Amino acid sequence: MRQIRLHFRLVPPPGVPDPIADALWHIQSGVGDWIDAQVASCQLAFSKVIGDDTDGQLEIVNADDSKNADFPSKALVISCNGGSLTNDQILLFKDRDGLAGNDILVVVAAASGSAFDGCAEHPPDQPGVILFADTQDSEWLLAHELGHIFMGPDHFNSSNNLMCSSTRGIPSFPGFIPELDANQIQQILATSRAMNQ
Amino acid sequence: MNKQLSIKTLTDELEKVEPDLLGLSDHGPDAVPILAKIFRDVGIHPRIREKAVYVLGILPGDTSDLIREAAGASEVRLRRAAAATAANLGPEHAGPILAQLIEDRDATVRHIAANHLPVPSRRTMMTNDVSAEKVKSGSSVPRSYEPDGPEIAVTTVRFQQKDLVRFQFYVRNSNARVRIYRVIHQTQRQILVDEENKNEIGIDLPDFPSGQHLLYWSFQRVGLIWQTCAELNVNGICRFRHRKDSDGSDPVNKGFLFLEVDAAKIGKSGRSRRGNR
Repeated sequence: MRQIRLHFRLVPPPGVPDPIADALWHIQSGVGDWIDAQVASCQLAFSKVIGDDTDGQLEIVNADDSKNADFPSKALVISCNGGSLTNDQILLFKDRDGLAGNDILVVVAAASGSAFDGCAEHPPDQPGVILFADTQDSEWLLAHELGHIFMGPDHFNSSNNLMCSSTRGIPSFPGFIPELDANQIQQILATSRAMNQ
Repeated sequence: MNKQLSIKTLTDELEKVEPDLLGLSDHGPDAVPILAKIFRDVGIHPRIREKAVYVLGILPGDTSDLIREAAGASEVRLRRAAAATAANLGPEHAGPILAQLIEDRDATVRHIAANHLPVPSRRTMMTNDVSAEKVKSGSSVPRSYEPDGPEIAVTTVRFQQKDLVRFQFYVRNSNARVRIYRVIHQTQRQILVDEENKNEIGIDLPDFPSGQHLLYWSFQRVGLIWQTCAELNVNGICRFRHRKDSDGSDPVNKGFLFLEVDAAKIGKSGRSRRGNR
């Protein structure tokens, strides 16, 4: 069975410079619950990949090691159109303390001001994604960004698909799980296999 | 007008997790009125309105009035986007907007504004770049340390690292506490001066890294009637002079100036030209 471990690191918003205010932000913002929901959605979204075939099994797990490992509070500046990464992105992903091999760093930031809700662009051999927790209320944001890690930057036209360009467009009725087609599943398996070697 | 553009097509694009900013920018000025409608429409999802403000800043053409409007909005998301995108307007438009947002009541907005100050401009900059020939001939060269001299209204002064750069601030009819600082990219402020009971302060600026910087000053005066003059002198030549007074149209106790610092060329006399006044 292949396991993809996610390591969450938070970037609190500017204005919470001390530990007490920082702790209050964690509680008041509900970012912990948001992360739990995103991980649960990931496990659902990739459940189709976890098959009976031993070779096809893939498990997404939260390493749950984010305590006391937050980055300094700031408003991140990111770029996510296939060009150069910003200094913020380079510095964040460079810090892989506590991460093994191809573990994925998930940076959850509070505010952006820019046009991106999330981004999966990262330096080579430093897999990671950035999510803005206050941007959209999509439950599939993390799963979508992990999809980019596994399958590359392309989007899918169908709003039923996990890799639809707008995750808010994915149906939200209870029990619905975004689709992954056979080709996408093969890509996920191939990438996760490589990441586990 | 691009017939394909509508509120629906643009909101569809803005709803994307990773909108195609280059594609949006290619819509050009036709997209401006539609994006303006989107960001003003309180019935649209707040995040989409925030993104609309950001995209307005990267479109070709002058959208500074709209970004200024967003910078004054009551919704923090819109001010945050204005702070994030203002630098795309170029220093001449970005300066006043960012200077306003640096004092915003929301810490995130303040931080983003400070974070976005030193950025390259893709638009025309209003600089005061006195040519070497002009300096050599002495023709029409503004004289330094003349608070009553003619104003030099620029928002950016360009010079080289090796140049002697001196900032001079005068307060008349009132002594004041004067603070002068550099707004630093990604961090906060480097205080250069913080002195009380002064009516004249002059400092030689320290070595700044090459790139854009924001020099910012403020004062707290004692008297109700006051006049100030800020000057920036490069190698003894005045490149910026701005006066304010309590009866003027802009009686606020702060000012700013963008500095564009070029890397020093090897083989010149270097900072040995620095002298005392």
